[in-house]
Amino acid sequence: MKMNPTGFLTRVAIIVMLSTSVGCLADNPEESGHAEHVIPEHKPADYVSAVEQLEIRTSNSLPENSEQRQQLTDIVGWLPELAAQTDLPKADWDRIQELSEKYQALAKQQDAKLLIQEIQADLDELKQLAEKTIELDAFNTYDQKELTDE
Amino acid sequence: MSEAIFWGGVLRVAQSVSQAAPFILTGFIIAAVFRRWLGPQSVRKLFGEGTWRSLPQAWALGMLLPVCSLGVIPVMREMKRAGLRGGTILAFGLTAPLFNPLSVLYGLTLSEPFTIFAFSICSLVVVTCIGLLFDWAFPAKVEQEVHEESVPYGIKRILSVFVSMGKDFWSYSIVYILIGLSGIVFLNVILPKASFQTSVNGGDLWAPILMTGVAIPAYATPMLAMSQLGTMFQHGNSVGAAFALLILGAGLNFGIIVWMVVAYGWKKSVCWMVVLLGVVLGLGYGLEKPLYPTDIDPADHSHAFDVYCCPFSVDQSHLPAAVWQKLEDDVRPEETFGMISLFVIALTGLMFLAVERRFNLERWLTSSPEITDEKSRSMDVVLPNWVLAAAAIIGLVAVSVAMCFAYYPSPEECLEEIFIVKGEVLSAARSGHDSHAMHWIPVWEDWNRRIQVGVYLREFQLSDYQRMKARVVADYIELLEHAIEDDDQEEVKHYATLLARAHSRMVRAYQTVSKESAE
Repeated sequence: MKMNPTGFLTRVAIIVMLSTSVGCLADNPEESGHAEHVIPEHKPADYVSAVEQLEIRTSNSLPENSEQRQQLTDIVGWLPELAAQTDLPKADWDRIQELSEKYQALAKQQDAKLLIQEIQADLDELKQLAEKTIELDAFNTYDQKELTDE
Repeated sequence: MSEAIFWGGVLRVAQSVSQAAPFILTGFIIAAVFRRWLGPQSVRKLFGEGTWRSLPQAWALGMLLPVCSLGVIPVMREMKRAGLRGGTILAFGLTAPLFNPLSVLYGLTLSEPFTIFAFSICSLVVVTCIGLLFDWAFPAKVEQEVHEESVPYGIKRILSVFVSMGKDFWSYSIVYILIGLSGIVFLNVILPKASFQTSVNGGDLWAPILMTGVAIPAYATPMLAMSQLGTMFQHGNSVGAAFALLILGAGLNFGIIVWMVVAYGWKKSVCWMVVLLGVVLGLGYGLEKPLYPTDIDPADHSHAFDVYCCPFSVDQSHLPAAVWQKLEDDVRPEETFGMISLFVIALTGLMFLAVERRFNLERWLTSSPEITDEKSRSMDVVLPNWVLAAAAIIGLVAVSVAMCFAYYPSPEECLEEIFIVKGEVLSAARSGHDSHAMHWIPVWEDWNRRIQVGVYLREFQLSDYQRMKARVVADYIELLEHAIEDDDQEEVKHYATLLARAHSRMVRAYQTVSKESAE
């Protein structure tokens, strides 16, 4: 069944106008307060803190509950992001991402024991990279200069 | 309240018209080329009418041609005139606005390029499924509506395209386009400012359905839809809602629905809509888990849909000035060009219609030229219409590819722009000039995306390192924005410092690439 365009369009125009008028009459609720980014409590402040957390969380035996396991998974997942907030060069960052992906794959397999063993095995390397970030951040003082200039 | 809604509507419609203008212009050009140069038979051949290829071919042509859901309306009407089947027309009409070379490039630099690949394959599934079902359920043979004399070679052949575009502007096409824009007004009325920020969070079962309700009346250009997808993935919003937004927000509007009802009747249109919504929601829920990004901290909100809500709050004043200021800030040069071109088309269309009252323009256009000089005629090769049409369509695609390089400049150029914008944002934020900072923040966000696409376009890759550096900057920009909104000076200073540092690191990450590519 085909329709007469003019008649149909007139009906559509009336419906749109009516619905718009009804909408205008309705109370406009107060604008909701703007949303915030919720930063999880267990998210480390920086890469150095993340490595410290990994050391603490893997120094004991297996995580006691699923929440702790999830937190450990979250922290290894945050490593590339936290490392990107440092002055580490690309090669070092790539290595951190590689390790993070390896840990996340193990976490997906629900093998907490193997995950902890792998983190413990790589901990020295992660610590060395953490020390390097501290050195680089201390060396690269141009940021402060740039801020002062502005 | 009503003042805010009125001026909000004015702003939203003006923004949509300016964004749509280049795409509507393209739509009129394609429709005129189809009518005058290709003709019904060649259009049917182009879309593989009557073969199994028709639906995927419509999908592929739709991916290439740069039109939006308003610009596609004249093309769909022309396809119907050419006698194409409903399934093919609707497949093209739904796909063409979803992707174009610019938006696909943008999408490929998102954190999960696979997502865009999956979404485009799913869009093929959507158009193929509903196209096949539509043609199977309603197999009525479509008759070619009119028989038109072909236009002979020479200046008339060029002029005929302009005549078609001008006359098409004053046809029902513009009515359907205006109906399409009414959806924006409708949303502006029912959605108060920022009211849709927390409605489509990841894990919310209702998110895809809610998004479906908003996406149908909404109008989004392919680029806007793609950037909204980017924001949704950055915030960990519902993947199903993102898919619904892409297919229905970019692909559909009230204008297309009304045209469909007029062209095919209620029964077929309702069936098509039901199947479309079923397939989109089914795929949306199916994609929710497999495509949910794992490397982000989900936020409990998204700013991606603020553009569909009323832009003004009840207590805001000086609204006309605010509308003007916003338009002055937002309208891009290519949009101005599109609007001026449409204005010229409208004027010439009026002129052609006035001429037709006294003079048979069609007969003159279709009458053959008198050949007076056989010798010079032999040197003057007459190109067939299909060659000109192919050149015009390939030219449009080539222009849109060239536009990619202009819109996404080299990293060096982007960094220069970002340097200027950074100065504006940080100095304004620190000195308490909130409105100035809030004006420049979206500009910085835009350049932060464009630099990534610019690198991808030139290097055919974007390293995870560069992507992450840009993401850190984007995160800090957003945190600074929230701090400014909260009017918390301590936080503003804190995030301004972190943002400046993140920017410096990003510059080094992208300068390394520039140097490497220069060498």
